[in-house]
Amino acid sequence: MGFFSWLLSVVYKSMFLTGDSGLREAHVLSKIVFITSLVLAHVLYPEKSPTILPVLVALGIVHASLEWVTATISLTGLVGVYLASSAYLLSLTGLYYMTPVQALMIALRATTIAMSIVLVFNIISPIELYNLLHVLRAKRFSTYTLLLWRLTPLGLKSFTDSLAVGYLKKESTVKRIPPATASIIEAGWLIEEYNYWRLRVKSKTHIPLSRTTLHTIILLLASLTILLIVKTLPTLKL
Amino acid sequence: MFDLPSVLIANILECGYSGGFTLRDVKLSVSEGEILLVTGRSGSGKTTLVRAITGTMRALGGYVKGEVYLCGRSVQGASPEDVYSCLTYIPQEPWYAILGHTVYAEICHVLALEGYICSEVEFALSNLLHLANRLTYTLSAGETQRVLWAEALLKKSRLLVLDEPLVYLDKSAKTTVKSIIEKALVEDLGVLLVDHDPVFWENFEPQLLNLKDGRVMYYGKWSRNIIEQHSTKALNRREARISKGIYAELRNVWFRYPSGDYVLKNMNMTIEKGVLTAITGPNGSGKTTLLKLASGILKPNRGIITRYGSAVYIPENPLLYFTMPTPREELLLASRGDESRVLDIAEYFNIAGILDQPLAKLSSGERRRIALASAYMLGFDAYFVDEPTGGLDYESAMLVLNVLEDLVERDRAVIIAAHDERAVDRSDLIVELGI
Repeated sequence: MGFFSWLLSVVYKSMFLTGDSGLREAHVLSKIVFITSLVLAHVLYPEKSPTILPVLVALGIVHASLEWVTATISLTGLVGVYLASSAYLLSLTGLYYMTPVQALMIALRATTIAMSIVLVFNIISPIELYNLLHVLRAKRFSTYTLLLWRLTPLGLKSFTDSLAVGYLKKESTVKRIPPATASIIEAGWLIEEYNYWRLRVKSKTHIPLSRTTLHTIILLLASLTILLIVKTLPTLKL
Repeated sequence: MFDLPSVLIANILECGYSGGFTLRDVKLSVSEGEILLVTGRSGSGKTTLVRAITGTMRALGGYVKGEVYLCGRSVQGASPEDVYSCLTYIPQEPWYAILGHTVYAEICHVLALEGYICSEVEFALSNLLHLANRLTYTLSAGETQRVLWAEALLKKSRLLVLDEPLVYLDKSAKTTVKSIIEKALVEDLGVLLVDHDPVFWENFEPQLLNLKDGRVMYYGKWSRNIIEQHSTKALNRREARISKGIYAELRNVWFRYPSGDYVLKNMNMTIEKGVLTAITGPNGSGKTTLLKLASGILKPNRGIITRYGSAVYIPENPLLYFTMPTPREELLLASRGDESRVLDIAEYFNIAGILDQPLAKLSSGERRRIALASAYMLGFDAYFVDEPTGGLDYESAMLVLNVLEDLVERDRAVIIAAHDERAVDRSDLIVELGI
């Protein structure tokens, strides 16, 4: 059903494929360590950051499935290819010089950064954020973290279904986008109406979240591996 | 006003939307352990009444003249905590009443708002342990309703407001609903039910409130005379039609959603033209998935689907079908600008009076009729319709079924997914999933 439906499908799979399982069950401190190691790798060793891609892929398989990895690589690869090709095409105008290998490095680095962001989004649990806001006494807003993870996939699903019906009605995708968008807005209105009072009540307590030692250890080991890789591998001279 | 014996007292002089539909002179009360059944045709004002009672009317741009008291407090003056604690509302489109991304988050959030820390015990008691880790957007409509029912009981609300609670439920779930209502009554909860077909609730002998065109036609004790005007009438059985050819063939079809288990396994089926086929089965058995696969919206993971002609799919949420913002524009698009054909079709589908109203403001039944009218005009070879009569009163349901039969008589393939026995009874072929 076209590029747009495919794009929605990979966004949906890479962001909302799992519940509170996998690496979301790791301890919050291990998540902080992992995010820190990613930031250090990307900021201090940007030229070596593509070397951590295999670690991210392995973590993706542990967290979700090969299906998640395929969708995420497709999505993040798209970002990488777009940035590299646009930079390379611009270089052809003579504004600056760029080799195809350098363009490839841009693609790999952009893909790695994008995949890091998607993975971090995946390991953060909405319940964790809910509990954090509860502790920070922003109780009225804590519900909105759950709502974000609920409404976004629901909206994407409505959007995709609406596009698919438009495809059967032989309407062009461009013509179908406004009503498909309207279906997301409608979903938002109905959620607001049916949860009118629930959205206005402050949370009184936290929501318990299960933790697993295995996922905590995996995340800590991954953090260590990432730092070792970027610290010890020699820099490629392009 | 304090210590009222009723969990709900409403004295509504007028409510509605300026320049639009109005509901007038409604006085009602629901006491602890009592059921009030609100009935009436599509567009009679049932949903407007629910909005006035649940206190959402003003938030939706409407107005309420009069007073509504929930658990002894005026809805307008009460705090959100008081209203939320008193009331559980399960709407006709249950999936929009869910806020949690997983069943676990959903149930635990409801309990957290009441000050309880959830545990496995609540899930076991509610028979939802097997669903706890499911993402809520993967639940079927019936499974979603089960989650909301469980919440209502765990939350210990004093008033349940249920809008067409049976629409998406299979037979066993409907029986469960009866036992839940019995339990709720024993625990002194008040229940306000909105249902187009009151007969299902006869054993409870509820109070009746019958609406017509925004006016109360009857309010009082259970009465056979009143319900007989509004219940499902017996349908004349006729012989099953004979196939006029094959529209599609499904061979060894397997399908699963991302990260889920297989919903359909090794499915083989032939879809016939000139025949009304009903797909039935328990909640979550894959009825909607089968419609989406056969119409071409989804692709199978394994197996082959061969289609011979065009198809359209009308979802259980008909808003996803529409392209234009009003019925007139939608039908004009379908008729390629032929205004006179639009008026004829509008008459046939009994939607002439709502042609210029925004689709977003119409009732679920009205939207369904408009979607069907548009698809009818576009002239497809096959029509896949999800819950075509869900939540419709007898007359509206018969209208929709007559249109579907009209399509069948024109040698189209018509396939419906339905729990509604009125629709299943009219079909020529029944395919039962999940057995």
